[in-house]
Amino acid sequence: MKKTIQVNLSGQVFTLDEDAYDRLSAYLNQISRLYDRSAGKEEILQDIEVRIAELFIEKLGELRQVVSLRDVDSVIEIMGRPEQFEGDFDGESEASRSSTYEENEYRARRLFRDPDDQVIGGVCSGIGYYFGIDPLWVRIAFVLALVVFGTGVLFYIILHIIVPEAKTASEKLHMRGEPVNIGSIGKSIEEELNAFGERFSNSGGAFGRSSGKKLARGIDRTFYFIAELLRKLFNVIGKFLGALFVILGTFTVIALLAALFNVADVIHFGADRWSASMDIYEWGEIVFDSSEWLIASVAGLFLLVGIPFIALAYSGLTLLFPGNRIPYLGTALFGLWFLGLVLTIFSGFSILKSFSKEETVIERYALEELGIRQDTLIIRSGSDPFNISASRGYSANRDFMIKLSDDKVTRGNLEFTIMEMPSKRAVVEICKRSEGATFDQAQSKAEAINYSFENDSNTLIFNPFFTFPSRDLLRAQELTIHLSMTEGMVVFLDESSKRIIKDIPNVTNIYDPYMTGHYWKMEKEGLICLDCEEIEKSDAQNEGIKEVSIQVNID
Amino acid sequence: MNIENSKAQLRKGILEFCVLALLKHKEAYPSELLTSLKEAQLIVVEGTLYPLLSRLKNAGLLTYRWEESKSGPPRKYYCLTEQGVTFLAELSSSWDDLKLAVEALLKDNQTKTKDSK
Repeated sequence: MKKTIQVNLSGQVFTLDEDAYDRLSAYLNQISRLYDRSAGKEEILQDIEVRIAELFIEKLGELRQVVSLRDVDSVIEIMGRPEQFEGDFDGESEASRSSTYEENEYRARRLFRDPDDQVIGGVCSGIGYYFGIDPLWVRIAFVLALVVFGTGVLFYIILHIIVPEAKTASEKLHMRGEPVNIGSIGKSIEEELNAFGERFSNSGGAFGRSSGKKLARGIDRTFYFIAELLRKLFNVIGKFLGALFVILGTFTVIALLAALFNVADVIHFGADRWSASMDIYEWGEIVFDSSEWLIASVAGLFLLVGIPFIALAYSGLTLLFPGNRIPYLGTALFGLWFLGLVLTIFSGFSILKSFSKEETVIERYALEELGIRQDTLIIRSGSDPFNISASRGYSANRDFMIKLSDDKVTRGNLEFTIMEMPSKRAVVEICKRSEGATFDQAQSKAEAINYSFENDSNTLIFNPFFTFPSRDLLRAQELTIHLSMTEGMVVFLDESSKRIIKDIPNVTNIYDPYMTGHYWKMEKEGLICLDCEEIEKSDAQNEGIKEVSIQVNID
Repeated sequence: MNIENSKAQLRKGILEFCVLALLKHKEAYPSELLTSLKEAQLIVVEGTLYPLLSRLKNAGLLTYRWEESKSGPPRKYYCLTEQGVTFLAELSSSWDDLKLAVEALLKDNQTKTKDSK
């Protein structure tokens, strides 16, 4: 016994077996989807139904009453599969001809833009088909995304770029497929059992019968959608990265070239208000023995740093325009980079060598000989024509370097300290130190350091800068001033000395910046503060400052 | 190259022309058209015809009228519009040109092949 279903095909009543009905209705649905939203859809369907009715009448003759599955199959064969209608005998539909159209349809739904129902590019309509929802909802979602996040536009543009338009009938069929939702899954299981059961049992046994399979396909398709989207998104990200690489690479190379050709000041020394900047050549001139070495090392550094950025820009270009590769460019770039590496290493070694030895020359001045009375001595720093920010104190001064004239370099790299223990004589030692390729060189460079201090009967004024001849080159010249005090001698550190004092040992271990503005007496065990009221207080002050800073941090 | 594909492309190009030509002298309903087209092997699957008719009708080249049928559903009799007649005439002349050109080409080629033998 078989269940039958009555249908009306353009005014004619037919009785169909249930399986025949399912097959026929799936077929008509497919045609309907192919011409969905195109102008003549209703008419085409109507005409086709008329023809099917005629064919059924032919098949049934006068004896039979019920249309069987075989009748429907033969009618479908005569009418042809929807993807054959338009004569799109492209490779794809050719390949899929061997499988049943139902199978083909369920397996290969793909995301396309719908050219038949588009507001802008048919993206929303395509997505609607993919998920079996009304495109209106997708459009509303996009508009909301635009209003709420403003991201809708970008997302739409990206989708428009990566999603192809459905052009041929078979593409449209792929696009339309069967909607994925719970209802259709149930329906499809039934359809599958009824309509394809036979084929499947012929070819693959229980392959198509499991009802879980339909659900799995639905999930599959969702994952496939995400995967496809991601793959295409990566393509787009690749393009973005490509553009980014090109921009980054190009700008860096331009910046390097600008530095190379003296467009920009690249090295600043120390000062805030005094713009003591030197370009790379000026700087190079006082470091390198010869202009050849300077050029070699600058070129080497440029190649070493610049080539990777050129490579970056180039790789960005290949990301943007795949396929257009310049032959041997990679090899050439690597060769140049390697040359840069060799040049950098050699000039680096040459530089290191010229800093390898050091010598110190010491000049001693007894305070008696300078005419200084030995009861109370005031230490001051000389005036600063460069206006280095005093608040930055010692370190700002130490970093300072400027080449004021062709033959002279001015450096702030000096420090003043007081010997820890009392000595028999009160003496000022000026220690001039330099490095060089040999000891002789180092010594002559140390001796060439030009430094002077002034004094009157009770004051020592130390210039915060020294100079050395440009021809001596920058060889880590530095100056240290040691003051040796006799027991019982008192020294006052003027505020101005802040910029030169460094690590003055004292029995109370007060930090340098807090030592200025006070009188210090040299006792047997070392320097003792005479007017620091209470050491505890200054400690407490220290702690107070710390606490404040901690509170600020918490806030 | 797929031979079926090439054949289909050839057929596809002249199908519109043939449908119009069939309707030149008398109106017809789709099944009649299908019989002629299938005899001429211009159509493989019948479904091809309906979208084509719909397109031609929407383009204003065809029009139709309904007629009841004793043996089945009501029939749609298609006929050419004035525009369709002009359109067909143009297609006809270009078909003639094309036919002559292709034949001449094939013939020419044949004689050459013979000569070379």
